[in-house]
Amino acid sequence: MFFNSLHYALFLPLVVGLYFLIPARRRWMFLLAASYYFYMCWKMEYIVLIVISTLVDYYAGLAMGRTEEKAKRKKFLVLSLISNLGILFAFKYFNFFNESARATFAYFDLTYNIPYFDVLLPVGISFYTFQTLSYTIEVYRGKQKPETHLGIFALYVSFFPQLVAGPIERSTNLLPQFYKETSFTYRNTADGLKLIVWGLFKKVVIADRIGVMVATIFNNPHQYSGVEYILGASLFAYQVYCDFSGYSDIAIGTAQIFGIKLMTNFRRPFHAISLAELWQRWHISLSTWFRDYLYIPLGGSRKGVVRTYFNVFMIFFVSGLWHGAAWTYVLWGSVHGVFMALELMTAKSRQRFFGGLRMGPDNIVYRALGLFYTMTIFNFALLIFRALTVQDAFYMVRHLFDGVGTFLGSVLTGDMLVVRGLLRGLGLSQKELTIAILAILVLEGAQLLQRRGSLRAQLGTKPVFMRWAVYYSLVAAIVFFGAFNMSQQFIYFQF
Amino acid sequence: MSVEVTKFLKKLAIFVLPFVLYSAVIGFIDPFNYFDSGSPVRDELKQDISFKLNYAMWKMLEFRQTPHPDLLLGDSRMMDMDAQAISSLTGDDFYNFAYGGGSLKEAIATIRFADDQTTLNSLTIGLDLNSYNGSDVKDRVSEVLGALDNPFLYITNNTVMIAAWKLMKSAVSGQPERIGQPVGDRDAFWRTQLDVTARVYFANYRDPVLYRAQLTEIAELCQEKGIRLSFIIFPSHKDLMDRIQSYDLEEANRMMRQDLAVMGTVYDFAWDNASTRNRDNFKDPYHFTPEVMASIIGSVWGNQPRFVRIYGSGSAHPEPVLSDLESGGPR
Repeated sequence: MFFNSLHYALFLPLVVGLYFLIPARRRWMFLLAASYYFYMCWKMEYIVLIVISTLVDYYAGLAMGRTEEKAKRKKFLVLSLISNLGILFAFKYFNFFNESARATFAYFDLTYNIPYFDVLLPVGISFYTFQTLSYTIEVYRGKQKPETHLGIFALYVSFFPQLVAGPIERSTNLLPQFYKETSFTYRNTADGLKLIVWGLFKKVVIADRIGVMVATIFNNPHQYSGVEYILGASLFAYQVYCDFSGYSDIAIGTAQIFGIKLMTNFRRPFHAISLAELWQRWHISLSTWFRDYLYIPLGGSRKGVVRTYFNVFMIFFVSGLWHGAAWTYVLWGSVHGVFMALELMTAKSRQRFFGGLRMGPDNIVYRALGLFYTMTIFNFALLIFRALTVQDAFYMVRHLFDGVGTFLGSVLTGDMLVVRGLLRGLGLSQKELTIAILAILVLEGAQLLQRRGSLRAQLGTKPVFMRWAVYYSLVAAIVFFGAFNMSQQFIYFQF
Repeated sequence: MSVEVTKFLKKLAIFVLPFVLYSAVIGFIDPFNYFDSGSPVRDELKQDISFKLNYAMWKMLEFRQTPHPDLLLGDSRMMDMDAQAISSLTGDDFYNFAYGGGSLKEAIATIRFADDQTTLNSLTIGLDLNSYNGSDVKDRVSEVLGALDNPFLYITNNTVMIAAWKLMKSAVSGQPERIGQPVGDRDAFWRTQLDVTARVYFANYRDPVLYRAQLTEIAELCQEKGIRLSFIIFPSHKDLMDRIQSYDLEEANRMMRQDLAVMGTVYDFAWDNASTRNRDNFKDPYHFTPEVMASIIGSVWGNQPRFVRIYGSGSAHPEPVLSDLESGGPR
C-alpha cells in the first residue's frame, strides 16, 4: 500500500476514525493490527520477520533489564544484533555477496556451487531492523528502560506511518508516546493533513514527473552523453529528495493525526554549504543512527586524526551498503566517505584561506562556492548511486564531459534549439517539463521561506483567504498535475 | 460527536465542495463520452473540440466502444488517411488510430491496447526517420490508458478540464472554439520545418534500440496471430530528404528500411522521384497534399502502385530484399 494510492486514501481515514472511537486503553491493539495489515499488503508472509525481530528484541530487552552484570547484558545485546543483522543479511545481502563471490571464482576459473537464494527483498527491512536495534542498544547502555508491554513494543517496531521508509525512530522518543492518552483534535488533524499534502505535492507533482527523465537517461546510458548525465544526476537529486522527504512528510503528518510526533528527517539539505552540513540535514534519522551507534563506538574523533578519517569513511561505506546490496551503493558511500574525510583534513587550511580573504559562512560568495561544491559532489555521487550497474557508472563517469563543450558553446551563442532537442529526447513533453520546473520553483520558494521557521506557523499568521488559497493551490496541483500515470513506488522502499 | 470532530468535518466539507462541484460538471459535460451517459453536449461539438485536444483519449474511448480489426497507426500523415475510403476499397473494417504528432512509442502502446480489445486482422504503421528514432520518446498514450480504467484520472486530466471549459464557452457563445492555428506564410513555415523541426529530430538522432526490439515483438505477435503487418514510409519533399544526408544519417535511414523489411511489408514512398521533387505535392516538407494521399491509398490498398518501392514481407523472408524493388511495379 503506497501513500500515494487510493488504497491509502481509504485506509487512513478509516483507521483514524476507528482509532478515536476505541477506548484509549485498547487503541494500541487496533493500531498494531492496522500496522500489520499495512505491511502485509506488500507480502503477507514477511510479517513473520517483523514478529521475529519484535520477539527477540522484546525478550533481549527484558533480559538485559533483569541484570546489572555487563557481560550478561552484552550477551543479550549480541543475541539481538546477530538475529536482526542475520535476517538483514539473509534477505538483503546474501545474494549480493554470493553473486560477487561467484563472479570472483569464475574470474579465476574456479568452481562455485552455492546456489542463488530466490527471495524477494522484504520492504523496509533496513528501516525496522535499525529501529529495533536502536532499542536494544539503548537498553544495553541503560538509557532506555526495558519495555514490558509486548503489544506496545510490537507497535514501536511496526508503527505503520514510518514502518517501511522511516524516519528511523528512537525508542526514547516513540515508546512513551504510545502510552499517552490522546484525543482527536482539529489542530493535529489539520496540521497533519497539511504536511501530508505537502509531501504528496513533492512526490506526485515533482518526483514522479522528473523520474521519467531520470529513468530515460539511466536505463540507456550508452545512448546519451555528458550533458544528459549531468542533467540526469541533477534531476535525480531532486527526484530522490522530493520522493524521500515527501514520504517523510506524509509519515510525520499521518502520525501527527494520531497525536504522535515523529522526528524531523530533512531540513533543506540543498541549502548546505558543505557535505558535512548536508548530512546533518539529509535523512537525519539515519545519519544520527550511524553517529550514535557506529561512529562513536568506533572511537569517533577521540582516537587521533587518522582514526577519525577512517571512522568517517567507515560510516559512509556502511551507509552505502545499508542503502542497497549493490556495488554502486558501496561506491556511492565510499565517494562520500572520501570527500567527507577530505573536508575534515582541509578544514583548517580552508578556514585560513577564506579568513585571509575576509570571507565567512555569511559571505554570499563563500556560500555560493560552498553550495556549488556540495551539490557537485553530491550529484556526482548520485550518478553512481542511480546507475544500474557499476559498468554503467564507470561508463558515465568516463564520458561525463563528452559533448558538454559543444553544448555550452551552442547555448552561449544563443542557439537554444540544442536545448530543445536535448529535452525532447528525455521523455517529457513541453507541458510536463514546464509543470516540473514550476513545481521545483514552488519547492525552492517554500524552502527559502522555511529559513524563517515553520511554513505552517508562518501561514497560520496570514488571513484566512490567503491560507485557503495556498491549500487549494496545493491540492489542485496534486489533483490536476499529479503525475499519477507516471507513478513510481517510493525509492527508499527498496532499502 | 465532539466539537473538534464537528469542526473538522465542517471545514473539510467546505474545502472539498469545489472539487465535488468540478467533478459533477465534468461528469455532466463528459467531453470525451467517457461515461457514455447522455451528455447534453452535441457529439459534433465534442468532435470539434475534445478530439483535437486529445486525439488519443478520443480514439481510445471510441475504439473501446466499437473495436475494429484493421488499424492505421502513426502520426499526422497517417491521420490524414481516409479509413472509410480504404475500407470500401478493400472490404475490410479499418480504423484510423493515428495521432497528430504521434510517436512510435504511442503507436506501439496503441497496438497493445487494441490487441487487448479485439481480434486484429491488419496493422499498418506509418513512420519515417523522425519517428524511428531513439530520441522520439513522446508519450501521450500512457496517461490515457491510466484514465481508461480510473474515472478519477479522467476527471482530473488536464485536457478533459480544458475541453470541458471550451465546450461550455462554445455552448454559451454559440461560436465553436478554434483549436489549432492555421499556418501563415507557406514559405516561412517550409523553412521552419527544415531548419527547426528537422534539426531537432535529426541532430538528436539515436539508434532506436528499444523500438527495434518492441517492433520485433509486435511482428512476432502478428505472425503468431496471423495479423498482417505493413509499414508505410510516407513521402517527404526532397528538401527534407537532403537533410538526412546533411546530418549524416543515410546509414540510419538504410538500417530503418532493413529492420522494417524483416518484420513486415514495407511501402516506401520516401525516395527521390518526380513526386517527391515536386513542391506542389506538399503542404510543407513533411505533409503531402490530398492528391498524394489518394495516390498512396491506391498504391497500398488499391493495387495501383505509383512512386512506391515495395519490399520486405516479414518473417517469411529473414533477409530483406532491397535491391530488386526499384521498379515500383505491383507485387
